[in-house]
Amino acid sequence: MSSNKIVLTSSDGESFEVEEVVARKLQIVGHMIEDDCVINEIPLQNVTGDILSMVIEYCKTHVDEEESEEAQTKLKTWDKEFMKKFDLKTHLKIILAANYLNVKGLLDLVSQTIADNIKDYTPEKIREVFGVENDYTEEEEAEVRKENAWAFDEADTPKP
Amino acid sequence: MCFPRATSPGLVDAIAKLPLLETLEVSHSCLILDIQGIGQACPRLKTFKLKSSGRFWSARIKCDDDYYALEIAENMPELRHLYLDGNKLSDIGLNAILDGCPHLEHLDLHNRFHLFLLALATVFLSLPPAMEDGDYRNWAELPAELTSSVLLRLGVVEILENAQKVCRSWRRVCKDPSMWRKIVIDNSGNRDIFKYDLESMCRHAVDRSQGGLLEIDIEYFGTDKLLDYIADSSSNLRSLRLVRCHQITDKGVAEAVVKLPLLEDLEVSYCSFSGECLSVVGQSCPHLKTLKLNRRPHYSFDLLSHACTRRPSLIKAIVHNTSSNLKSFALPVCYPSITTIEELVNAIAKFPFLETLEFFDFLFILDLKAIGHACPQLKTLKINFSGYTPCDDDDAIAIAESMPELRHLQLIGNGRLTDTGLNAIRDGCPHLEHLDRRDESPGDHDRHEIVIRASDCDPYEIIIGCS
Repeated sequence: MSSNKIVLTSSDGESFEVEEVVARKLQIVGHMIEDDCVINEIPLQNVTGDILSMVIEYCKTHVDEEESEEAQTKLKTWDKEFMKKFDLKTHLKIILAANYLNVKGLLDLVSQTIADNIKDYTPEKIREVFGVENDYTEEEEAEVRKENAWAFDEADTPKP
Repeated sequence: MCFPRATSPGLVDAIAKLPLLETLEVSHSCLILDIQGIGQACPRLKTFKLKSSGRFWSARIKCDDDYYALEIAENMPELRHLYLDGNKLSDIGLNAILDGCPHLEHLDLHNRFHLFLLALATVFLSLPPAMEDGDYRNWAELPAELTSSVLLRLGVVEILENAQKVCRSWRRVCKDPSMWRKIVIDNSGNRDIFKYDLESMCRHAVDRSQGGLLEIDIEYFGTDKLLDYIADSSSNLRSLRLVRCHQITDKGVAEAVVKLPLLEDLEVSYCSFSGECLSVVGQSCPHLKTLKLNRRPHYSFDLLSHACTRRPSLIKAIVHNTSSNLKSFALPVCYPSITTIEELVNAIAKFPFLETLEFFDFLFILDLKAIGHACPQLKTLKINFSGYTPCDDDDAIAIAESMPELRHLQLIGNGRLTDTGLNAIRDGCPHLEHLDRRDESPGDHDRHEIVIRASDCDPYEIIIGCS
């Protein structure tokens, strides 16, 4: 008996036919199936085709999560390689998609990946890389610095 | 809306009850919408999105290419934003929309549609790229829970020194107590963390957790005072890991754990910790599941092993005062006397739920069979035999006969193990997933040197010195 197929359609109209077990890894879809709200095609409006295809690739790989240590190690290696394929901008798109589609494992993975990548960044570098605007006023910035003066040299000679 | 089975009249009836509606989105509908009905019911409609996959649309609906465009143009004069996709549209339809909806600011015609129209639309109207690919131009606009999901994986130093200084919204996220359920201050990052006053940082992090701290993991710094501060503020703590905190003493650990009744995992490794306080740990922490005391002789003479040699009562203290639910037990370098071996085996037998058992640098013959029978749920067994008595076939057979549930087995220093022993293990432990049987002779230990001399009176009495 072949398993049930479900078609997932992205916001830009790209369709992916996947097995139901894979689609269920997207909890948003899992809930729809449980609520009997599924014909066999599901439109996913907040995710584009290129990102959805990555999410599906992840779900296919993680479809049967074995408990054995060996299988876990293998999956972890795969996860790492998988994440290496994308840049930070794509990671951000994946985190949004993983959140919207409710794929917990992927959300954790991509959160960890981004965290690992920005670990050693200065605030200035983070702002530059992510296009985040520094909305602190000068007073506030001074306050944050004062409240958090942990560096031994900084504490000795406070900056103006 | 996503009601694949809703009917058009049902939808219009429902919408008619919402006369102040300004935004309507209909997705994946397999019916022909009564645009006129909707338009009349909601005269204030400013945003209308109609979405469907093209394939679905064309299979179910047979109507003019411009049906929706013409209907919208006629019935929704107040529209500011219009999103249409999965539809074919000619320039007649497009012109009708431009004429019929004079206030239109934003028109997005997605998916199936003729290129020349795209060009035309781009001339008249700007299509913001954000709508096209769901891109976020600014990470500060990410939902706070996602920012938090990333930032809580950073170490304390990175959060306090970098992340919270990025912008206001990141600072808000970094101040939330939910960010501080787990505190990690180690030097796994590349930066030089020792230029900071880690103790103050740690206190600050504990303050931010507002009592919600569950896990703390510190390395290379900390004093008894800090430990006391953590324990006073964090009665919910489940996991405490102290590694290479040379200033933390037995007394400090003992006084802290009394205040941590929910503790499940405790690791005190490579500290100036002798283990004298373990009886307090046992009494104070009834939920303790994992107890880990690692030590390399390299750092200073191994106090715990010393204590084990001189005072068999220590092991007794660990055992009699620790919850019988203990699941994991790791004992460091241990050179006990013969009486202590018996004590130890008896001790282990007191933990029937034990799943993990690790011995490092063990220097005597263990009655593995007795251990196996006493702990039927044992899944992981790691023994480093390299110090004195290599593992042989008898050990292997004892394991095979008494530990059928084993998943992981590590036998280091197995010089005398032959196929007979290995086959016995394969037969006796059908669930075994991982067998590590490196042969590591004592000479491989470059970090410490052990001088062993058998005493004249008792072949098992071992005198040890570390250089």
